[in-house]
Amino acid sequence: MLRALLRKQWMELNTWALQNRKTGQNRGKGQIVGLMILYVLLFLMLGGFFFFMASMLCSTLVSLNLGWYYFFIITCMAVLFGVFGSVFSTYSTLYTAKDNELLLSMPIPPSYILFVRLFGVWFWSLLYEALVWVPGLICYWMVMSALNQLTVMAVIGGILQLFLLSFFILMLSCLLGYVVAKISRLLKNRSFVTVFVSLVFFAAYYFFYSRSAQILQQILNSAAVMSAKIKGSALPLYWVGRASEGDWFSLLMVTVIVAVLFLGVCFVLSRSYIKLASSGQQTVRKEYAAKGVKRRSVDGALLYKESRRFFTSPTYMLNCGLSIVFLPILTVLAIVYAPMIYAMADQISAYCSPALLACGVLAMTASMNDVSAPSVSLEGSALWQLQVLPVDPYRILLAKLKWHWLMTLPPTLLLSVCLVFVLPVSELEALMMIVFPSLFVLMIGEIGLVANLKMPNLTWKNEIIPIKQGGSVLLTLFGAWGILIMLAVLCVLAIMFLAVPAVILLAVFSVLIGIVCLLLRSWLKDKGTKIWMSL
Amino acid sequence: MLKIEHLTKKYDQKKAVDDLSLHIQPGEIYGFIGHNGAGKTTTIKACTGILQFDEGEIYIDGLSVKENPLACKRQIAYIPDNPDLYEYMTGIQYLNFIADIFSMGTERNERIHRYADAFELTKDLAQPISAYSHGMKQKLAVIAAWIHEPKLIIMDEPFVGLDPVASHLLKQMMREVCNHGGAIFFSTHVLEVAEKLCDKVAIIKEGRLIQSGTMEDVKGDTSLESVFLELEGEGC
Repeated sequence: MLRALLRKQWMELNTWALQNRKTGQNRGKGQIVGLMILYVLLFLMLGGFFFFMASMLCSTLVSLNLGWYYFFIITCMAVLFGVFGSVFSTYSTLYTAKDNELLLSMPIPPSYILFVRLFGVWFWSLLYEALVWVPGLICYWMVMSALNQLTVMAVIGGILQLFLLSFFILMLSCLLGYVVAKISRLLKNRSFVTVFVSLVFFAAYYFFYSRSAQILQQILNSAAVMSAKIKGSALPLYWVGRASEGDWFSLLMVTVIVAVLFLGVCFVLSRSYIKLASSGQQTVRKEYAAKGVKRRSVDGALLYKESRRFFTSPTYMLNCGLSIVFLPILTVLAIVYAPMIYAMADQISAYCSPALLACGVLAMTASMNDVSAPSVSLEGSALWQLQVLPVDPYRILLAKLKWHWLMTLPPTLLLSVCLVFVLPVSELEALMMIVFPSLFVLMIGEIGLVANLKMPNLTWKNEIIPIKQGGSVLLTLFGAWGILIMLAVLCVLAIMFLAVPAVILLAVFSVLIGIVCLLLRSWLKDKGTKIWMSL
Repeated sequence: MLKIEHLTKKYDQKKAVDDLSLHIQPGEIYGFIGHNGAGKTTTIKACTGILQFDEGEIYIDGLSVKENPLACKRQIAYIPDNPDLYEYMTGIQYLNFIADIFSMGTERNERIHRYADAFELTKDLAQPISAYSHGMKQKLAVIAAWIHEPKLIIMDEPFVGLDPVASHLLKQMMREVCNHGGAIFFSTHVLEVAEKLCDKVAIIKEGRLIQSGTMEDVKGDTSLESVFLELEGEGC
């Protein structure tokens, strides 16, 4: 029975590689090999990054006889990476797995189900941890080999630590996953909280990534002081570092501590697994209170529907609406650093028009919003509702466009107006700085919708597929960049060879984009509606 | 009320519906039965304007579905066999969305609450549809179909997933629509229900209409099940 369950779990773990998520079909051997190679390269790249970081620390700390401190830092990084990499898969695997009820209804001891689920989570924890730990370990071995100080115990200790830490990470993931499950049950506006937490995570990631060299230098500068403090008042952390150097006593102590903690968590989980597994995704129940209803027009109702679709999906918001966050941030930065921006723009105005640059930045940032690009696909199996309602299909498509514009145009205009006051531009250039980005936003919305009508995917099981992997999304995103690059090249050529003023260029581009918008709108009204009705 | 004339729909070279003709008068409950893959859902979807058909014509209250799709859709409501509703809306948001599309006024409140109370769904209207069971989604789809008082209601296996009380209520509601001059066209596999409820019935097999008429004409002295099995057996 256990073997059957482990086989099932192993198949589940490998579904991402063996099955095409879009079509549900099994991938061919060539595709699997290709995918494996891609992931190996990705792992090597990430591993290379961590190896680089480890090499900045290792030789210095080893020369100070602080090899254990080096391993303490690597352990912290590995645990952080491992836990954050696996906490959400722990949450979905342990607490919200779709086959929990099926397995629990069969004569399988709940502890077996738990063991098998934990195996799945442990596997991914080990992989995430290994991304950090293995390069760090290899770096240490290389340094110690060069000093002729590498011992067999150090090698054994390092390898054993890899597995001990994986169980520690697994334990932490289970605890944190439980917290995530409890919190998500209580949250009313889960989508917004998810988006907020994700953005904070991205911001923290970029902060630490951009300052990694400084952070590493600070670690080295404070090594003597920090290591003395840890050795003096946090002995288990000292043992963690020493165990990786091959100290048998420290290895034994770490093994005992991890075993006790891990088995304790397993014991608690196994006693309450049935309750945990069946609590699933229950949320706080809202009581219905009959109150005055806001009536909307047909167009208003269609727009409301698009807004609900957008705001109830963190995936949709994060992947297709990033400009909504970045544009206001840029506006605030433009206001705060206005004098500096003015001075810089003034300096470069001899070589490049600030208005042109500003329009490029505005358009590039606004194009990070591709709200309309997956909007047709996202109807999915619920498409029949709109097809059956007495609404002109063009109005339905227009609602999708309007939603894109509503999400993108106001923040774009806000930044445009702000830059008009911050930059040294003429009145005509100021006008173009508002007109050009606005028309660009209109055009991208229409391109996204046209692309999705030509490349719809209505058979998805997970909304990530149309949002992140849809052809229309990729086409819209890269298409926008392609258009901007092409316009930039035309600008350079026009300025270099024809000495065309920036305001003229912007006016011409605006007219061209306006014509494209009209043509796309006409296509949507004619062919677009026909395609919609035939979906 | 609903006139289907020589309807033909092909998927590649295979005819899913072949030269089908049906007339449904106001006041009739018309049952549509057939084996799996017979062409019932294709016919129903063609009537609702979801599916384009290759040949023939469909008229709803005298209006062509091909030429006046919007006008036809204003007269009808459709409930599919597996209603995929907007999971990101609550029940009440969904009902108000439908009411807005049909430009309903303040009468929507009374109708929503009347049907929601009847189906015992009122307390769940504030929950997201993603949290509804299949039966609750089915009830919500029925309420959404009824609130704008359509003349023709087209349903694909409407009783699947409904509890006995809700099924009984739906049958009463169907009869009430017909008593007020409307019509019901629905497909079902539950022949006993069709036998008791329908005024007329049509049996479809491999895309072709093989029998249609009043219940008495079609089943005679036997049961509808016997007639159906006999007609199905003729092809074996």
